[in-house]
Amino acid sequence: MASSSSSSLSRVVVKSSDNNLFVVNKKVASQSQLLKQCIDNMEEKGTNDVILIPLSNVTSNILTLVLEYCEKHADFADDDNNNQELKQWDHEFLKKFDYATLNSLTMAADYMVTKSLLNLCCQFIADSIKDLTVQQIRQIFDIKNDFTPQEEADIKNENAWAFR
Amino acid sequence: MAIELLHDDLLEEILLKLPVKSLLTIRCVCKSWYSLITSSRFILAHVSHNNRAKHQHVLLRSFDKADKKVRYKLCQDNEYLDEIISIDSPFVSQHNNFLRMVGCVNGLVCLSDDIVEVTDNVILWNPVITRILALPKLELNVDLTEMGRTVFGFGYDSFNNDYKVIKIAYRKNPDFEAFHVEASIAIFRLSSCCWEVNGSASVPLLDTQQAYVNGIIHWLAYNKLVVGFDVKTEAFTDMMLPETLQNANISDLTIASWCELLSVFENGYWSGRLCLWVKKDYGVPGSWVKQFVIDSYVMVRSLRSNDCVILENIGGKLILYNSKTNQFEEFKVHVEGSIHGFHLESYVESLVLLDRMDARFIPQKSAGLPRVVHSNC
Repeated sequence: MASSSSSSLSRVVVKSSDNNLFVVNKKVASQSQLLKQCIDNMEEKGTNDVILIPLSNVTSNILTLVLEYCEKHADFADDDNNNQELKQWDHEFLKKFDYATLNSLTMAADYMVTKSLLNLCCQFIADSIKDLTVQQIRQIFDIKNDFTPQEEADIKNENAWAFR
Repeated sequence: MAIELLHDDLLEEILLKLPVKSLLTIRCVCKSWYSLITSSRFILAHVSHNNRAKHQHVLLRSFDKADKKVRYKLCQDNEYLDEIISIDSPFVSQHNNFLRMVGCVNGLVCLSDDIVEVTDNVILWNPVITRILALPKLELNVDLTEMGRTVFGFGYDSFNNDYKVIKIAYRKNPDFEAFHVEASIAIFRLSSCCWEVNGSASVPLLDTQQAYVNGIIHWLAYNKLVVGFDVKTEAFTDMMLPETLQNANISDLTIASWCELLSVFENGYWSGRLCLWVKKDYGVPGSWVKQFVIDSYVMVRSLRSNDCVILENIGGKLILYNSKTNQFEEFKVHVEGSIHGFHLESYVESLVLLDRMDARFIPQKSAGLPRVVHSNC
């Protein structure tokens, strides 16, 4: 993930919850508002040391993915979300993952305040569950049905067209 | 595979992006999802999300002369208006084949049985979740034999998240072009589910058709003004029509919302020339701009969101006019043999009314005007 072209001042080190270190270009790191805030705070204090930012909630395999996303998006302007190439890349990027990874990625994007990734993950999950049955959704999200059969039937009867 | 559970606010972020059909299904997953999806807070957030994302559909009404059935269809907002669901109208009008659509905001449709004769049947209906709420009867203490005209308006107060219906009942048969006509004003607020009678006011005589733009319900007035009712402040405003329409006959004009702008069509059914006027800068006096002119004997029937207008020609055919390409073609989709009763609205589907215990669920294939217990107020 490290960018080799920038000076030490323009890089930060991010530590995952399982203690792996990632050297990240500042421009890439700034895609995350959490990392950007840390960098801004340190710069205000006039620190010249390399900044180490520990992320206690994100494992290295998920952090790798978040940083891959940030690196791609750092090359585009903030208002370039409608760029077709970028949209295509986003889709290809997410479609490789299973629900477990998507969930972890969503939580990491939320924790690291990477809004565009959070939005992208939520939309992607929504699109992929919108035509599933109730049973399939319970399985995916590991949810126990706490309705009685009668209660469930009553709700289904109400808007039967939606269950076709 | 079992996976780590998303916390509630992330789950909500995902659910907000789902269409109504999926949300109705997904309610059954478990009790906590059910409570989330049917909560007022979620319903409001879902409305805001859909409006922001401009998730537009089309609600279409058709009347089949053969079986005398009124059908509503939710369609995709595309060229072919692909049908999503078809709903047999659960309402029967006392005097007409169908009810008049007063307005439509955030997926909630306000219908009134007043096309032929004014009745007290005013209904709020969310067709996608098939829930209706009949407004309680309103006693205005007006002698019915003295009753003139009644005009309804429907809009949304986004500040208070409240849907409101205004009823303007004119006493006696008023002078059509008078600036001040005595009228009884009553406002129904969904939040309290009752009418509040606001006494009398002087309101010029209004045409029944409304255009809801910028949080304000607009009507054409017979004294050649556009009268507005601000749904939040509940105050009346007025503005001038374009200068060249000052001498027009109000019945030749149609007020509408064109690409979210207040607009007035000057129909060409008799004159052979249809004009669209659009208010470019709301709040700036004047600022009416002539958007396009069609040299043909046509009148406007419905508006599409994509710069297209559905017109009716003198031969009783529906024509789709594209104002961008200036092209005409016959409009045949979903017309089903009769253009009588055809109506089309841009529609943003929503869950509004799903949290209301007093909103009755209407199973499909029911007939007759639903009986609803009126709230005591």
